Amino acid sequence: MEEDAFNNLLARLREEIAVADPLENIRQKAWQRFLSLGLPSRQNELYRSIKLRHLFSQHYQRAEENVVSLDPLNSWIYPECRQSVFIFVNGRYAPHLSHLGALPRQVVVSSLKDAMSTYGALLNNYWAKTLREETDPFAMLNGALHAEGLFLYLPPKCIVESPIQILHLIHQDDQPQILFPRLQVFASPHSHVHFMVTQQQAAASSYFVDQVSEFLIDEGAHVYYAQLLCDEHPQAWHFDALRAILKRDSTLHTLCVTEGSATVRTDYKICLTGENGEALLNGVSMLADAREAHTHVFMDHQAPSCRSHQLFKAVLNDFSRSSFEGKIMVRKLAQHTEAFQLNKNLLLNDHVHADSKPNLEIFADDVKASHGATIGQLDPDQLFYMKTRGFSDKEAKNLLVHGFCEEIVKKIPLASAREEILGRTAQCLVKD
Amino acid sequence: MLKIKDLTAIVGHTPILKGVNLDINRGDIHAIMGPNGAGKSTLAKILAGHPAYEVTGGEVWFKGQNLLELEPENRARLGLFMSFQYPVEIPGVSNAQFLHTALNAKRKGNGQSELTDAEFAQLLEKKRKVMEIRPEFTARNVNENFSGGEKKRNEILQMAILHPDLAVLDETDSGLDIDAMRIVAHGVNQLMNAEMGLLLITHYQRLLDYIRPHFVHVMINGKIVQSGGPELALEVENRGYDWLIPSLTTEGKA
Repeated sequence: MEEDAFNNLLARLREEIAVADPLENIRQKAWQRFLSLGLPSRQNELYRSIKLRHLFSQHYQRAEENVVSLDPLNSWIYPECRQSVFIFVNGRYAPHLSHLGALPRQVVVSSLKDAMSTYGALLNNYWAKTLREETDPFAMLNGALHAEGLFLYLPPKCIVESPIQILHLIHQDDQPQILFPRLQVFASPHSHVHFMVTQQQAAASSYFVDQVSEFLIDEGAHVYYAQLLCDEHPQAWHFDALRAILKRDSTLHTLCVTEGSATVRTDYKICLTGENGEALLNGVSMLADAREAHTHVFMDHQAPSCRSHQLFKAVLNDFSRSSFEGKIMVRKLAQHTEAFQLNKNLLLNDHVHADSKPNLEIFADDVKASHGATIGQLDPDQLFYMKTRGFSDKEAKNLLVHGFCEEIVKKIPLASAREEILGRTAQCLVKD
Repeated sequence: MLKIKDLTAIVGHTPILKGVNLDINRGDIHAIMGPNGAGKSTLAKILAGHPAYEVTGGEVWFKGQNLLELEPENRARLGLFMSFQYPVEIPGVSNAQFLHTALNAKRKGNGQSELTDAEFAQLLEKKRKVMEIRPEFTARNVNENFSGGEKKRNEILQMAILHPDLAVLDETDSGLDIDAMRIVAHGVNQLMNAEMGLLLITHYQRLLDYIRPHFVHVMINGKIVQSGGPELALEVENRGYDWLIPSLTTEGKA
């Protein structure tokens, strides 16, 4: 059975990494928790749209460290981020390739391992709680197998003006690799930071990225996290777990643009634990060929007067597939919650498949909450109107698809990234 | 420039055009009037290539080419423009983007160079002012949140940008107040020249006070039953359409 082989692979990786370093304690705990959760099966509701057997049947090896020459590297760094870019190579933070000149001096940047010596208490405290509450096996797996993760601590009132780019480089030859990139961000009260995450891969075959990004957003702090999962090998698997705890008056805005791969799965768990917190999640999947993108959101309103908005769109062509499952939980104390969720899907033919499953659990009684899903095709009246203005069938469809995606893409704050992606929406999907 | 010969058409199973004949030369303004259900809008939509209608007989020649064999986009590139009675909204696509792309596609098809963003912006600004459309319009999505009058003025603005050889205006005056109609008429008259042909489809005579036709036709029950000069429009205004229906029976059915 593929699952057994995969479990054996994971056990081997666990042995390889069991060195006596400051992170070993927490990795052991994560591993124990992973074993008790076990790999998800098709019966697991949250993974019912995912073809896990294909993942389990791959023979992955732990990613090798690779030295990347700097020349092509510079062309992948946005002009706005030349002095504020973190580089990961094959899932490992590479400080020697990163440029941090534009960051305020008070910002603490280090590998997770090194952070354990000065911020051990902070990290252990945080993980003690989150480990108990984590239910996703793959997020837990990252906890057990990560190495050279990135730790970022923003002191109170620290405002990082420059957008920070996190550039993930994946380089591999024929041997499929498994990567565990990890980001740990602590934003102290009233700090501000804006991330732009991108990826460049030079891979000859499939790889599996099992990624976790965790944010503790303290009182009055603001975090913006935009990610472009666009350059993915068609056979790659990419699981991305984003975990955030928001204290009072803080905000988290996220934006994800993906072109999918064999499977891209983004899993958000956002806990609004303090009054007046705000979480805005945006995403657009632009899928062609046999690519897939799946989104799962768990939005947990634990405190009163918080606001959350989810807007996730997908446009599907060829034989692509997508799913969206968004659960909003409003706990008893969370009065005056505003929680909205909208999933819009545009299907370009009869062969694609989009699933949408909203889920609301409301235990407070003074709440504004709604969810909506639309699954539609291009409007023939709009197409005809455009043709009478000289647009060919292909041009008209491209412009309508561009219009559909633009609502999300225009929200990318970094101008160079925004222009780049706007250009991709107009051409990539409708072929002759 | 346009020759329509014995055109018959159905929508679903219902015959709607029962033998239409019409010739339009360059520089001429024609008007078609008629009661509801006569087939006036249908004729316009068939010229534009709307997929809901099926041509069952007859011919249409435009600039020497068989129009019925061309896809809608190729009819547009050949120089045909239709202003819709109910223009569609296109969320997510801005007016400027829409028109710039359409114009460049046409220019490219005719072997002309495409306009840069700056050149187009200048052109759009000029034409926008003629149609008295607010500046915010350029960034707004096509027809989104436009009033009926604004949508019609936007149709004429598109016509001004695309500069067709033959423009078919389908009930452009419906739902317009006098001021809006005057602006629309002004825009049309400014564009009109000895090279262009214009076909106005109208229910009411009053538009024809502002855009004076050379020829007026009355369409009843799928055929053109009477043709004349501008005075025909006034006669229809005064007498209605009933007096024209006996001429259908005296001609016999096609």
